[in-house]
Amino acid sequence: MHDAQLSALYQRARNDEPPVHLDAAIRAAAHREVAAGPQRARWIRWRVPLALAATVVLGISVVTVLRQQEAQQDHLQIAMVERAPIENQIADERNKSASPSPPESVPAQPEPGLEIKDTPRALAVPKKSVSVQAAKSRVDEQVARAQPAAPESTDRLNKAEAGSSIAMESHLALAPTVAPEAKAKFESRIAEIARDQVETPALNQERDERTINSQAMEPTTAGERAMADARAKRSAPAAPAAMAATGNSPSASRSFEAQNMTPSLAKTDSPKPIGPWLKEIAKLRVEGRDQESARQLQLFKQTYPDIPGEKISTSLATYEREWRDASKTTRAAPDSTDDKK
Amino acid sequence: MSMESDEALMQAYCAGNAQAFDTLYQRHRGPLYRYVCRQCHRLSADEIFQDIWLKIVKARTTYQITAKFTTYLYTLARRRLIDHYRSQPHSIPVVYDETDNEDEDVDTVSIAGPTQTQPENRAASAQALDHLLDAIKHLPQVQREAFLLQEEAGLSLTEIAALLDVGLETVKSRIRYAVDKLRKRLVEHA
Repeated sequence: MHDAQLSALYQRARNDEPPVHLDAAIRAAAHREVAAGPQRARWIRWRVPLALAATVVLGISVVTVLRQQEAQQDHLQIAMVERAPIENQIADERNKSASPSPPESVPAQPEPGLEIKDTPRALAVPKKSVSVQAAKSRVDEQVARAQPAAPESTDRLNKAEAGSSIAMESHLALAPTVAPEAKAKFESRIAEIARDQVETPALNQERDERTINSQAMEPTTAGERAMADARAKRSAPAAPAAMAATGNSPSASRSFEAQNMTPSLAKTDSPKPIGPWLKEIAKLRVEGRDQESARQLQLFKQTYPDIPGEKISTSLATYEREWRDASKTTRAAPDSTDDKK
Repeated sequence: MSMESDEALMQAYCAGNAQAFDTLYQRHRGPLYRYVCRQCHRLSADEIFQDIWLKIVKARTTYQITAKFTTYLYTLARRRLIDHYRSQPHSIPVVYDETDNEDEDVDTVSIAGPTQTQPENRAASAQALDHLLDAIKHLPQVQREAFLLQEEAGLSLTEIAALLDVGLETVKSRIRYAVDKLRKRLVEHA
């Protein structure tokens, strides 16, 4: 196979060499590579750690963003679930007040886990109150979760008082960061709904008509609201008299409140006007319902944290005096008739 | 430094010793150039030769000893030549047919010429050298590269088999056929 003679002959033909310029070019390239070597070597040394670091940073970023989105979706779902019964109740109330027939006990939308089947009519109101209580407890839980809420969320909630659907959506979006003020608003609204359960249909109808008639005058700006408060204050001295005339019944109280409340505020879940609310608290005190008055006062302070306590106390004292005077007048009236007799 | 192995020289070059590359280049420049020259045109050979060495230079940062440096060098050369054949198929002046009657039963006894006509007797003749080189160019490509790897690179049959990724017997067969054809060609021109 290996032919030594042929190999020897081939060895004599080994005279081909690469040209000199080719040798020089190749050697120069090799020397250049050595001169530029440390920089490239350094880059190659850092290439793998850099790639790993970039991968880790990207991975952490993606995971963080995904978790945030997931948490937002969870909060949104919770808020939707909590809102559903409240909205259903509002819709039911409107349907009831719009229909001339006696109100039927429309069963509230059962909450998950709170389903009550075949509830008798007489138990309809307690059933609703159970639903309201459940919603309230959920709101409490939500507020407890969102205690370190950002102050801007409160501002945005206040701006959302207009009652429009867009504003309600913003409420929903802010559900995860609801502040204590929002809790107070929710509680006042829930209490209002609960009170509406026992109201007569006639009163509902009257209030809704008044609301519809005055919707065009609904205050939307802060100035308009201030004017509405001033109007409420001006009409305040007449309230005890009206209260006395109607005999201090709960329905009369509600009627008085409905008359003095700004129409839009009576309709929506926005807080009560300052004047009527203080009068109501004063009335509760005069009637000796201390616990309820204390609760209302606390609610009032939460709703209007900017009003100083001294001013509240002064106003309450004034209103209490007015209520006492009105009560005395009411009691004195039958006596005078007796005297005449 | 000249007594160091090729692998040690390459490692020294990888570590930044440019003189090691010079030594390495000096050792292999002639055989590699002839290995390339015998398989393509002279003009293309210069370019291919330079490309092969530049690949060695650029592989400085990633070079690892997995085989003999000679095997590594001629593997690069072979791949570069194959690329050249593929890019310029019509410029190949030699036969590039792997199935060129490799299996044909060559009567080596009949090929062997008379003593007076054997190549060694004509070694002094430059004409004989020209005939030999011409015969090499007309060898089938696979036989020619096996013959050149043995003669120029000095690789063993096993190393050639590993480099060409074929069996040992195949390499033996290719070299045997190459030698027989060269002899036959020289006899014809004698």
